[in-house]
Amino acid sequence: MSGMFHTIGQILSSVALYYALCLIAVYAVLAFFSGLEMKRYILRNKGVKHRDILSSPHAPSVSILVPFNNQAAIVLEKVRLLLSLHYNDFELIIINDGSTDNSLKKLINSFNLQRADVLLNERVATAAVKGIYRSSDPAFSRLTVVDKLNGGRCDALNAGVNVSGNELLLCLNINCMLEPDALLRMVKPFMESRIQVIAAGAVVRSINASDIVRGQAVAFSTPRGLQAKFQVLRHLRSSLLRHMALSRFNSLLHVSRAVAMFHKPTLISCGGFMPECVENNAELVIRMKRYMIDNLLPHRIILIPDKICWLIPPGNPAAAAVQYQNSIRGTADGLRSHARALFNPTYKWLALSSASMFFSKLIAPVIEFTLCVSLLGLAAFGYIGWQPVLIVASMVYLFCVSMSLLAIAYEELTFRYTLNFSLSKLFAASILEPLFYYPVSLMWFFGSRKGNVAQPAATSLHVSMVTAEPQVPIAVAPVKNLNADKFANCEIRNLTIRNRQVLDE
Amino acid sequence: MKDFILHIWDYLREIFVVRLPSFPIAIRCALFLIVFFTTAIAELYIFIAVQRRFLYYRLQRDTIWKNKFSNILGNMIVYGENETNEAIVQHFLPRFERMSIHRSSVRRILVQQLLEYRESFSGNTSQVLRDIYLGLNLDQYPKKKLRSRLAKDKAAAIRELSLMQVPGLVDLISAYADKSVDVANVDAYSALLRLDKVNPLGVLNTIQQPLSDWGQLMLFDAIIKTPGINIPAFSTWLASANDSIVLLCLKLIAHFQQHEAIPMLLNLLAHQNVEVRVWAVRVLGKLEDPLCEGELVTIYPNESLIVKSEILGALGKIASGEQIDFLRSCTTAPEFEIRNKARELLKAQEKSGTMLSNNTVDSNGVLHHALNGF
Repeated sequence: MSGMFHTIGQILSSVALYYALCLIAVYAVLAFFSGLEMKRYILRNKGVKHRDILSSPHAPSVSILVPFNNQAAIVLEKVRLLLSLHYNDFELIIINDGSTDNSLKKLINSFNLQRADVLLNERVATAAVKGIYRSSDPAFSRLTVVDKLNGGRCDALNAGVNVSGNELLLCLNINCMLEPDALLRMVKPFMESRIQVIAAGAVVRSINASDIVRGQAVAFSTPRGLQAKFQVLRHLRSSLLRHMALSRFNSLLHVSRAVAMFHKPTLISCGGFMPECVENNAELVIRMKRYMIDNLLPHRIILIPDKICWLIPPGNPAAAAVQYQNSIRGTADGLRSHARALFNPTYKWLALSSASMFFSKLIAPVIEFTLCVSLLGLAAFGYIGWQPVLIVASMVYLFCVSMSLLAIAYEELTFRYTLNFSLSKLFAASILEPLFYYPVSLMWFFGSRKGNVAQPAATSLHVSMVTAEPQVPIAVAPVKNLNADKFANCEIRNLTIRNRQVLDE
Repeated sequence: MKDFILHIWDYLREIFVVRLPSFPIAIRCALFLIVFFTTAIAELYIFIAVQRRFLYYRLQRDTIWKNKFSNILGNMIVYGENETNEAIVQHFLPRFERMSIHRSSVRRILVQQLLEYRESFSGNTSQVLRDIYLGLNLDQYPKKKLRSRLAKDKAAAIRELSLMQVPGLVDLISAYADKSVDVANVDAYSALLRLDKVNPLGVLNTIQQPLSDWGQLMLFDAIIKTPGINIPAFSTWLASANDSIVLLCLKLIAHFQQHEAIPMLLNLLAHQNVEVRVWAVRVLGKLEDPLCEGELVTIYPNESLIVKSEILGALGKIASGEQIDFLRSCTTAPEFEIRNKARELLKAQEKSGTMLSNNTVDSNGVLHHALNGF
């Protein structure tokens, strides 16, 4: 028996060592290509006057979609800030996803909103829309407020897609703060690329201890609390050392939920956002990529490393746990929905990147947990020596610390967001992070498998993916209509589009 | 404590030196990586700290020089209203020469300031700034950069030279234009537009690569904003094999309202590229010539949805009142966009909505939508 444990110990320590070496090699390669991609981005944009887009009549029109639920405290300020973005041609669509507080009333009173009779071109199915409001004040002519029944964030975004009239959609989390010229920077890749860009994400940076003046972060300082520092390091590492490389190889599947720009015709052709998905973007991005590959359409998904979007990271472990678990759940949902693409050689890079996502997000934590527990147990009972365990652990630990510092160095050489952060505090955080954050995140990972993730209200809608022309019906699920009989003749049968009158309750 | 440290040291020495040859290859790799990562951590920390210090010093130094140059340039702008440009340049040139502009860091700040002021001012002040730039021989440095292998250096040099309108560079820059697809490309085209006094728009003949939307926007911007360009008939390029040039010229025709291009535009309605057809219809609408309406209505049945929608938009802009029956027929079209647009156009032609109510309107809701005040 003792001999068997001894052999198992030898095998496991070898597996752990080779596993760690492989991961280190992969991450080092990704970090190298991320550096190249960031350099390329900076060179392409050095000296470019983004304001040229602002004044041009040929800049593309953008619809900004901002869903919210019970956010009366911040909604007015956010709308005002978004209306003051530097861009020539955009519309702001605020979607009230069944708020029970007085946020809608506040919006109506502050912006002189009036109910508008609008015939919706319902290209993606959503929960019933109760009303659409527009301002009688020309100063707020860009603002549209959609009031709908609660159906979750994705459902609200789908309602925004139906109302929007522009080709580019910027989906934004209401807690995010955008730079004034964020739209200019996000639109440029769509105009620049000769291949159709179907989605663009941005690196989200945190501002929990920064000075904010009139909605703009003016002075950045070290985030308060260990949790927030860990979040900063984690975001910088994943965005600047991993996602940039994936963007270079057009294999990016992670587009931030906080801020993302989509090409609307492609989004509609794919059936819009899927209400069942908590973390919608991973699933949506895979679906969009599959659609483009199935239809032999060249495409790109890119990540913009510029300073565009700011977010206050979760300050307490409970909130961080929910965020982490949502992310894991979203990845799992996305990959489950597109299991066929996972190891399918037809999809080439998509198959590879989704398989690597599957491994890194869902399998790797299980392997790492198993290896850690088994090796520690076997060493504790004396079946293997402590020395190989310590060597592997030290190697992995030092690699994690060096990656955090490399991410900070990348940031300081390029966009300098961490320039005013205390280096010693960041260093301390990067030393502590693998010791504290990683074991805790493993715990959260196993928590997410139990299904204790905050879910949005479920809807009965199902949006199927369409790989043929957009003329094929895409939204045929019954939508609860408040007064469907009266306007039954709006429905034109055997067509792609269902029209629904927005009615008084 | 000392004993503990010595103990650790002995332990590390034993692993990394004494027992190293006896370890299997994988463990030796791991030990090598441990040393490598430890060194990397120390180096990265020092690098970040030094980089921060260096940046801080550079910012301070730049601020001092920036203030000095701003003072001189400010004085120069308000100096003697009745003085000639030559006199102003003669007065201020020695002051700039006394600065350490032989140092690249100082020269960079001066050039930056001159470019900023040149962009912000026009007329005599702008001319004086250019004369100062040339008087200090600052053009020799970007000229050297034009031979750089790095596209970003080339692009920066081209931008600088074109903004300062340095003469005699047309041949040099045109050699870079259209050679490859890089960042210098569009800048080179824009520079040629600004610098070539004889045939500035000749660049449109030389472009072989398809221009992206961004490239078209930049060139459009350069053409409409460069003073002194003799605007030609852009219909000349509508027969170009490069569709992106055709698109750019269509935008320019609309901008300069070149009505003489209408016959060529009507020819483009049969173009194989749908984007060109869309833009041709859009430009016809912007030119608001009622004679085009018939042709647009003729091609309508065989067109794709996007072109059909654009045709309705064009008819709405022309709004001669001749196509009311056609618009009415469109209100029963199977496509939502077409029906909606047709109703909005009918409503635009008569606010009361009688035209709509006389039609086979599907529902009151549709009528309300079309008559919506927003």
